[in-house]
Amino acid sequence: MRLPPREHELIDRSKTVTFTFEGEPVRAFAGDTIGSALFAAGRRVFGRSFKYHRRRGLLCCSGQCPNCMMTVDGVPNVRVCVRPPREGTVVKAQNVVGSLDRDLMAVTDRIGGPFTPVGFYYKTFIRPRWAWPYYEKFLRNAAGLGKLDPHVTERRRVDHEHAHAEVLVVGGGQSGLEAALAHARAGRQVVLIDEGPEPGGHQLANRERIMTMRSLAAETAQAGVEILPFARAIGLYEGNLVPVDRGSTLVKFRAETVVAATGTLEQPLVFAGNDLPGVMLPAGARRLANYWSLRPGERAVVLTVDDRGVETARELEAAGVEIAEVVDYRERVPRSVVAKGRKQVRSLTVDGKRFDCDLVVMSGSPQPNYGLLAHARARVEFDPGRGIFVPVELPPGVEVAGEASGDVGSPAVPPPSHGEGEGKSIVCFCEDVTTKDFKDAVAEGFDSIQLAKRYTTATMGPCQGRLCHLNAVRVAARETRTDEGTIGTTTARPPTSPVSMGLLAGRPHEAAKRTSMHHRHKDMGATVFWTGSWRRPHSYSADPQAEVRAVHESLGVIDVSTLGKLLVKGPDAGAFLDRLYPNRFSDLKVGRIRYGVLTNDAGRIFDDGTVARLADDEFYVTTTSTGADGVFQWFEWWNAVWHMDVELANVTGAVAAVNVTGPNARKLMERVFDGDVGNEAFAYLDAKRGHVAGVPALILRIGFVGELGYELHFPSPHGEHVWDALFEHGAEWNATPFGLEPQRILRLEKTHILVGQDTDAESNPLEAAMPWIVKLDKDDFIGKWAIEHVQERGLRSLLVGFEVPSGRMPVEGAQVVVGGKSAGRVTSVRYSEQVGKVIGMAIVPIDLSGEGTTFEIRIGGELDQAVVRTQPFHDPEGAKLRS
Amino acid sequence: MSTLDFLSPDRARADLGFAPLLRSSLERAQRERGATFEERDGWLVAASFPGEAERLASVALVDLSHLGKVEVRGTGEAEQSRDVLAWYRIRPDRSLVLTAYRDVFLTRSTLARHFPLALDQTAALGILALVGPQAARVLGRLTHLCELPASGMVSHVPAHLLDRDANGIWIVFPQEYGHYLYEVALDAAEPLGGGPAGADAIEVRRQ
Repeated sequence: MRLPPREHELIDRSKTVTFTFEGEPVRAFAGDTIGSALFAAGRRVFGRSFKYHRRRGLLCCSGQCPNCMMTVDGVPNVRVCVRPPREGTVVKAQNVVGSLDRDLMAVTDRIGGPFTPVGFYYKTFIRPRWAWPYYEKFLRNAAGLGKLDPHVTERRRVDHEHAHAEVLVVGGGQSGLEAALAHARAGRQVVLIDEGPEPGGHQLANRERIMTMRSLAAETAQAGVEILPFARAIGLYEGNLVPVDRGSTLVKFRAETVVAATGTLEQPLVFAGNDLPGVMLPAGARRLANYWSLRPGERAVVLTVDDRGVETARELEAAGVEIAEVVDYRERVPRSVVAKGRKQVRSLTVDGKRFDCDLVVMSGSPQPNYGLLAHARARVEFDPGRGIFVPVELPPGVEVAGEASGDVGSPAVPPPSHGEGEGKSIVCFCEDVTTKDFKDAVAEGFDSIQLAKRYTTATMGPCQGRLCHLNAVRVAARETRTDEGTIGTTTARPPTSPVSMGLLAGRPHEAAKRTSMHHRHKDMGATVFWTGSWRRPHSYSADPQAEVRAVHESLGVIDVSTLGKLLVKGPDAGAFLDRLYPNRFSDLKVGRIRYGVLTNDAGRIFDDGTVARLADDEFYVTTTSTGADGVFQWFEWWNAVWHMDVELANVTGAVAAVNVTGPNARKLMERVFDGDVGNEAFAYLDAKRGHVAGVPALILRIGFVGELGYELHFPSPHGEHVWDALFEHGAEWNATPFGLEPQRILRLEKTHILVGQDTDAESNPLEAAMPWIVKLDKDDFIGKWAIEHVQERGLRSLLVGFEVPSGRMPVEGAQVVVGGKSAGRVTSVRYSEQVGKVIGMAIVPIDLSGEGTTFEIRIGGELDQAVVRTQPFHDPEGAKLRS
Repeated sequence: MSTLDFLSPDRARADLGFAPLLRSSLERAQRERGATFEERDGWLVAASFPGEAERLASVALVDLSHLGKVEVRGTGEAEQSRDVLAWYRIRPDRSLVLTAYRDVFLTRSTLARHFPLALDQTAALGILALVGPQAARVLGRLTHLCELPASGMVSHVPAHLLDRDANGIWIVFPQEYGHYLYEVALDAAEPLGGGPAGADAIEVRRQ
């Protein structure tokens, strides 16, 4: 039942929304939360605990504790005490079998004790071993939080935003507002974030302070402070990066100064029955009364270590609650406290004196909320006089204001717990960890707080230690007969409170590179797939072999713009390349092309491509598609080391490239190229400049796929123009686009290697069957020493071509088997229509690498025979390339 | 013909029976959003979009990839030609010079006399302008970079960022990422009331 309208209440009784809880309609006022509306409707049990399925009621009403987590519109683990309802919101209980009021799993609270001691998953349910999967399934269903619906189709949009502030104040209580105001008046750009709907902090639950806080907030805003409501800092990272959860947006703030004005965390007291519904923290009770005009109970007992409890008692009285007793620990610390009740608290017995009540307010130590400061590596110390941890040293750029600094007066120090043996005394509300669990953990040797934390899982639940860290340390100190300062703290890590994985992930974008002809490929029916960061055509039809035939028989066109393209320019360019590559380029004639592989210091192949000499001091280098950036960085690094007179430029994106290939390639080139493409004027491995379809181009006469070919390099923005021109003028020869899959078949017919496919981190040029590319007579090159070593010790394996007479197809990566043991692997394999066989390449032991030698490959679990071929399968003399 | 002419789209010739047309890497995405194209200096330029005036009140995304771009190497003193729209010093010995496309040959030739290398990067780079009061907010959704000019990652793409005052914030990026970056920027802008606008929506001025 609502109280009569009260001054400063947050609800607007003239506006209502209706949501459903477990299918039943619930009416809420504007300004209500789901939790307050349910409380107004008479609900007292809001959740079931993690392990024992104990009833849980509203405790903090500030989104700190785990007690009121429900599934809202399909999203589990929503703290309904701070979530406003919308019209039609669907709210369901979670972690129950049955209902919140009758949860069958609550049996674990009564009879599960012997089976669920602390660390039970290491002790029980582990034998027989084969039964563990069944135990695991049962336990995972029995314990836990809400469940995600894997079939949910509705997606919530989330955004990431970067923001900057000179000063970021975290916390909009009085100290936060005052700090923000002071910085703003000093001329700094200030942003203040607060978790609630308006700044004011816990003072908003104090009827005497509400107007003062609102006035201060208005003054702060007028001073130019940007105030962000519903904004929750979830960590403080290096460089003063503060991710802020704003519901559907994760704002990543970077600030010169971060002010933690995060206030205090009210701590529960530890006594038997301290988790019964009706046992609340002061702010929870005050918020119910003052925000939403709800009477938290009819008759209350207040246990308090400081003025908070006293003030709360006054506020509750004003709301019509009868105060049965206020136990002020500053006057006397009770030895024994026991709360009892079945569905909710019905009595509290303090040192043997029983009070009938339906509300217990427990105001334990006001622990400074230093979580963010700890993330920033602030030093925290225990203050034995007040029984709390306080920050004592702050890193540069981080300030603390108000209660978070330890400015909390002189509270009494409560005992770790009030008596034993009369029911469960809960230390960690999230994980159902009791004082007995800590006692057992310490007895079993988990006597440091870090070990005890991991063993008991205390502080590891949704509240992340906010309500249990201090009590856990106190109990651990008592059980180890030491003190809290010696025990120390656990390590605080982000996030300070739960954040959804979706919010962390952000928008589902994946950076993709597309060539300037990409959309033409799509128009022509290409199936596009990822190759590295590029989107490329796999093939243009369901039959890649048809594209292979087109290349062999007439004319094929493939977009090879993804190749890396580098310019090496300067007087030392030739010498520079000689040092980088095992082969030689300084003697390459202008207008000629040479193939090269790049090796690292260990002589291992890491990339390959062609090098064309454009001028005496100018080379054009191509690399593999995925290797472009790495090779460029490799070049730049060595240029910096060697201090040679060379300029380097990565022109990969600037230049589109198309390979025109097949017996009719020359005929097409005669139509579109403004130069002589005759075999004498433009020979194999020549590089020529001119115009293709009116576009300035560099043409390389090379042939990766084994047929007469011209590789056209031209400015990217002309991509579609050139592509269209090639097909328009190539129509007479049925010019056919071909994708990567046909290209892989074609190059395999020539046994041209793909670096990374046919080589691995151990491959060197000698064992990759390219001894001709290594010029050991050069003074030096990267990897020379290692390759000389390979030559001296002799080759152990060799990359060879092979065919499978049976026609069975091994998978790529299939084992080469010798004497029942793995002795190599298949690197590439395809069926070739041109050859009429299954062909491939494999790394085999050197003694099995001779022409015609047979070896065994594991295919589908069986061994099959393969025959070594040391010459290309197609056009072994290269006559077509040179034609 | 220079050895590096194949890097320069402005070396195209229309007298060989072909009509070379330059397309931005954003062209298809703009077409899908209803752009009206016009041919300007050999480029197919998205001149306008339906409803772009409203977007300018929030944030408009304008493709300026058709501008000329020259990368300069070396530490020589920059000769500030009146044709230069922007001169961004990436590092002490490396600068990016933006010009109108029709001026790029002249600019490049002039710079080549003063610097060891003046490379035409018109074909390599795209430019996306974020124009309007929400431009900085959209930028904040794409990158942590805020003090402009700057170089760094914008939505996982290496880019340069220039503050062009009334002409907005310019993102200069490798053109192969154009389609992706445009989609991402639109995705960030649309919830704020932003969207695409044509090149005519802003007047590109020298700064």
